[in-house]
Amino acid sequence: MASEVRVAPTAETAAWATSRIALVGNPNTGKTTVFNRLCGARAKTSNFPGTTTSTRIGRGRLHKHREVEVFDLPGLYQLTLDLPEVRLVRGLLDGDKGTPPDAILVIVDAGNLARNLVLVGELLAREPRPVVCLNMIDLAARRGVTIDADALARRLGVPVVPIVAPKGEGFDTLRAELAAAVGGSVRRARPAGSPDRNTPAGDLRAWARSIAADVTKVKATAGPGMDAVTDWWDRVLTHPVLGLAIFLTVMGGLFYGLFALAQVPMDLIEATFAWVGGFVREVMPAGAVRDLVTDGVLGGIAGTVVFLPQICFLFFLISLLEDTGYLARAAFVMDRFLRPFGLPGHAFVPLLTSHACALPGIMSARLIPDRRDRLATILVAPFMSCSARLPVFVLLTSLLFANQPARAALAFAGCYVLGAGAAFLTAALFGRTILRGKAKPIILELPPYQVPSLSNALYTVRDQGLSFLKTAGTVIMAICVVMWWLSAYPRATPSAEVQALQAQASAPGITAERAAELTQEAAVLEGRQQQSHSFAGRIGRTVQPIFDPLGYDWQLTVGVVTSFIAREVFVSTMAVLAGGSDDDEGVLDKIRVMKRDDGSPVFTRATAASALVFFVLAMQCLPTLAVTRRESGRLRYALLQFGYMSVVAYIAGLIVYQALRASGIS
Amino acid sequence: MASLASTTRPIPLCELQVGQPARLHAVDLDDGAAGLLDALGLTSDSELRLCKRGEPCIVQVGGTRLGVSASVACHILVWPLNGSSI
Repeated sequence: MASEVRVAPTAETAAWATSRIALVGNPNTGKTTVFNRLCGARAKTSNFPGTTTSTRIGRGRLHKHREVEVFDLPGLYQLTLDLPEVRLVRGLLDGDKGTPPDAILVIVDAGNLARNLVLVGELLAREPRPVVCLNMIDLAARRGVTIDADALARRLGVPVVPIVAPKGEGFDTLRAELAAAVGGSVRRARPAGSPDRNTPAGDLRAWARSIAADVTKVKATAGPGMDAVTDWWDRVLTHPVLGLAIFLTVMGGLFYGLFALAQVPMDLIEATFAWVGGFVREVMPAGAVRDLVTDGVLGGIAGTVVFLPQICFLFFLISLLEDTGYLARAAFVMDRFLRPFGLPGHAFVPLLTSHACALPGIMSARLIPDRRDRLATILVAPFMSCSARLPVFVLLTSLLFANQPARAALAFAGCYVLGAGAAFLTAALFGRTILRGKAKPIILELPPYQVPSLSNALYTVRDQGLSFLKTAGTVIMAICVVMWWLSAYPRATPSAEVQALQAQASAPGITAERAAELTQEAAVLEGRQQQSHSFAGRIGRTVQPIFDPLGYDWQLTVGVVTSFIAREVFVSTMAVLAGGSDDDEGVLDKIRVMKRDDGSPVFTRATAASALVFFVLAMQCLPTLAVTRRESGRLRYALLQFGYMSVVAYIAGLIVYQALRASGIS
Repeated sequence: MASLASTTRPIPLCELQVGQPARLHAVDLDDGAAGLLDALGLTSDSELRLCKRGEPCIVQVGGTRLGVSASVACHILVWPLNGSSI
């Protein structure tokens, strides 16, 4: 470290609290693991989950209780490539959206030094010069590759810190080097021959290869054994038959695990909300405020939060799968099936991620190099059944097949098949019309197989869970309160029929049991008349003729219309509308017994099936439309997505309802 | 060090024997695909080893393992090498 010059701390260090560190690196170098290690539980936010295609921001503590902001940028191979994620990183490093970062940490895969050094060389030509973090030295050692980090630091003229991110090895040194870099207290002379911004690509690669060769030692006997194991797994996992069987098993296991694991916490959450609602009803005096809290706020929130466990488990399992290296192999298995529909194998990850949420799914479509392929994927991704649809699927399948769990599960799985089928057929249709052409052949890096990181998965769950709760606590709660008000006002005067029932209940000589029955009957009737008289009832009636051919009454119409803001609102809206029912019942039971104005059930088999198909296919998510508009660069694609999916959903819902009615099923 | 095999012309990657090392000769693909392969480490004169033939074709380039469609592999020309330097 002869060329190192220590500079006394300056006033810059006083501004550490607002200092920013950018994490840059090739894909699959363990960047997210480094981010999680640096930020730990204090990661402030994750814009989008799953594959890192956007900037995640966290707060990291280097030392002396000083905090810095850490930006986890999308993985990229070279700064010169003309790809969306590369433009995003270049813009951030250049300070296009605010000030440039105070320090850059470039994560390098020790097993791929020559290739990773090309990006390091590009970063060396910029200011601030990076701190290099040599990750996965343990995996490289297993391949017989060892790197002289001191020699590398001398050749690069910047600090080089060897680490094993999953185990946290080397992070004390890394934090110290970052602290020095952020404070500007380390300056090193630029070694002769360092690349600059004008260095041609060929020279940059030659420079990277030369340095890698100088600082790397390879034991010739160590590698082949490990490569043979990887070769074997690759052959099996990408095999046309075996690979497909494994893929179906893995996906089946994922979804089975999702529902098996989530059931107990879901039951607990539902029971907790029922207990809290009952408690509030006991301690608060009767009136509008109590109704607002129990029926509006608690009822609505319960209808959404009850699905938090499923969302958490889905993100947890996808994160684990992604870490193992399997998903890249699965992309090749899917390539055979996606290509005939005009989608590339690259689309597999965005489409799979869309099962959690279309937002990260559409965002991760940035990894698809070809614009036509990317657009096709973006347009069809929302057909995949996202976690926001889960509550609706659970509700409607359980209404369709009450006490028939096997049939309900089959219908549930059918929703996913229908959504995926609609996506593929739509891609094929668009490929022959507005997006003419074939999907480009797939080129993909296959990351090494490794044991998944539990902490990464847990951080992902934490980020997504909080994001979901934030939505539930803001947008959905606001909608719930508005829905409650619309359904509670104006107040209807109890009808003669209600008054008669109440009078009978309080008549002398009647048994307590009979009195309770009559009171309950009067309450249900009064609730139904109130709903019908309310603003919500009037709005529903106005719009209802549009949905009448699908068998929806005004209440179901209100549920469908409000869910165009966000589809998960549907269950909470229905829960609020069903608020007048028996308070001892759970949210799902309340909805199950909802009645139309004429006393018949809101949800018959035909209407429930029609609504289920409608929700599988409809575009009901404003944030998704906003992301489609941003990622496609055109408003017309967002409008096309909304219009196309809405029309398809309506027609499919209509066909299902009318066909079931014609078959005598109502 | 691996030596050039006795072949008079480069062959498509998809025709290389599994396990045989080779040296990249040329990539006959559009700029986007060629640029991506280059960024992934499949640069001119780089040495590689074919791990799997067919769909997909899997190659090892240094520490990087790449999967490419067979149609892509057939447009990557390589010189087969004797020995096993990869």
